[in-house]
Amino acid sequence: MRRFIIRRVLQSILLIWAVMSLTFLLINIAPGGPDAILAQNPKLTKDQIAAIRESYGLNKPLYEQYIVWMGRIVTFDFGRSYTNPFPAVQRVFERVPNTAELGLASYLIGMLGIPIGIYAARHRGKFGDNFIRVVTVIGSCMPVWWISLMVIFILAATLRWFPQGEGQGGVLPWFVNLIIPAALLSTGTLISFTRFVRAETLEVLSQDYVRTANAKGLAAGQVNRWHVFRNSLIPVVTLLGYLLPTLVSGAIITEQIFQWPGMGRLFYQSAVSRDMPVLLCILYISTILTVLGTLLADIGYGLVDPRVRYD
Amino acid sequence: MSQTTTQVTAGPDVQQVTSRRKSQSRGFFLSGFIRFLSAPLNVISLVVFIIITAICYSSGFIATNIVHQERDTIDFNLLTQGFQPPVGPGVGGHILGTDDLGRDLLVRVLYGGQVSITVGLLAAIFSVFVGTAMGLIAGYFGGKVDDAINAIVQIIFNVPSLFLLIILSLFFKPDILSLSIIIGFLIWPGGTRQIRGQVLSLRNREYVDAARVMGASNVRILLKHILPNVVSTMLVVAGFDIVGAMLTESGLSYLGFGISVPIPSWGNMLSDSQLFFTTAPWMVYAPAIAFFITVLCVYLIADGLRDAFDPRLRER
Repeated sequence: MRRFIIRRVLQSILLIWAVMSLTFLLINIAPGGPDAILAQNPKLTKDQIAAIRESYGLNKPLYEQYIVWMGRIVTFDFGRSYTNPFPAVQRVFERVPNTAELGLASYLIGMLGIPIGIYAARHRGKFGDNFIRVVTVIGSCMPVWWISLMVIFILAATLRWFPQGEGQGGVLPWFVNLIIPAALLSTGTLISFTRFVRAETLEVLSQDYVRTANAKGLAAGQVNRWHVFRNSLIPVVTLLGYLLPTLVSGAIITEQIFQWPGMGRLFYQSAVSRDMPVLLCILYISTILTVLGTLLADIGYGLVDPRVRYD
Repeated sequence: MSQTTTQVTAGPDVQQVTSRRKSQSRGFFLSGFIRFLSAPLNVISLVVFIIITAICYSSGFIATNIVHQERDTIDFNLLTQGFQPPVGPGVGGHILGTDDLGRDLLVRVLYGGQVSITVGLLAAIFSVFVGTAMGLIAGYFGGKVDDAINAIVQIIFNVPSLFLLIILSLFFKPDILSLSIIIGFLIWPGGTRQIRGQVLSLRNREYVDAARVMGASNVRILLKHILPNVVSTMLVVAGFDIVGAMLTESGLSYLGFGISVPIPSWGNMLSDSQLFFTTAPWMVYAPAIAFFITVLCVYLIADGLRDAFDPRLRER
């Protein structure tokens, strides 16, 4: 087990390196690289452009830039933001708590999919199951930003149940401001959990040991608790890890819609102003998070399922 | 080729085995399609999708010959008649009304559908093509090749795709083709995983051994004996890829990094119309309903295909 974890951690570090290298390559071979925007500015003289290129290290050959860049991102040093005198990493880290708050809340809401999935599986083919299925299918065919806009329109603009962004201080205003964006950000997670848990529970319900437990006269509640849930929830551990990064990438759109001052919104703003250091810093952090999610999923699966063997 | 277990003893039966397997696989395919078509919902989805696609792809013809409106032409007659665009459905000969600039909404919705569906189809074709090729090679040859392809799959799986898409769109001014290729490039590993898994169980079947004994080359075995068995998986993967690509395109367009105006796509039309939610709801409903119905149809088709072809899921 320990060897497996060590190997997976090393693999994860390699993976982060590979993703960042790929990004570096794509950005630098693409037409209109980091300095093209400077060349478009008519107010800058050639000397000034050269000086700026010098100060950002853009005049060195590509492989040298790559080595320097790699050395710097290890220490989270992405240089100064192009649009702002602060270091990129500082601007990004300021936003992390907000995104984490939103992400955690929506993760918790998404986990409601577990009981919903169990319910659907136990009532397979009945009205409840069909209803849940229809809702999940519809939910996965509509863009989340579109659902969000309709919800804002209905709840905030028409019914005025929830604030459209205003409100500060106190627990209740905080909750009221958090709940709608979090619920909408969780749509994808909720649907994934529901579907996955339903399928897993159905799989377990058809197992021989469940039939045996029923046949020997165990009460339905006990069969469910000791034979069904314990087994059907094992694979959910992997999903917990895999879905972690979707919250961050989903946050770009959700934070933009709700003007949530998090990492995703900063990413959007930086993309509009082509602020590469900030963009790359956020990409780096979300890559780490993605890889971490996969790693946790793999290790967690091994911890809860004794049937998994490592070689 | 690490696990080549050629069974010489199977020699006399080879011909018989291959022919029986072949007819069985065709039966599997046909019976799968019959199962697919026996569910009314699948048929409805397929028909509706085909109709929507056909109408959207003839948007040029419809624009000039039936509605007599052009995609980017602003209807100044509205102003002279005293209307302020956006005008509602039916005003001034505009069946679905116009957008805020006075361009015919019906033509734009149809043309936008062409763009959105094309992005979905192209991305799915690219993804399935690359994904299948990689899956076949990885599963069949195994060993180092498998490891290498798995590494690429892992790398792309761990790229935060929306972030990378946005960064790339800053450099590539996305048009239909480049956007499709980039989206396709980011989603092919899903198909590779599924197809690789299937090939792993197919490559040691008797008929593959038989073909090898008869001296068939690897390419021939892959294309003639293994590929036909994964076609159903390819179809299902393609369906869900179309859904994913269309949703991704709409998300990118919402943020302003997708297909850019004046070319309409359902995504950027929706995103442009959100300011008019209260004043001109028809601008919102037309692309929204069209987008939703199309994506829903593709989703249901893919879901139906998966149920029809995956015997394990059939009872559920």
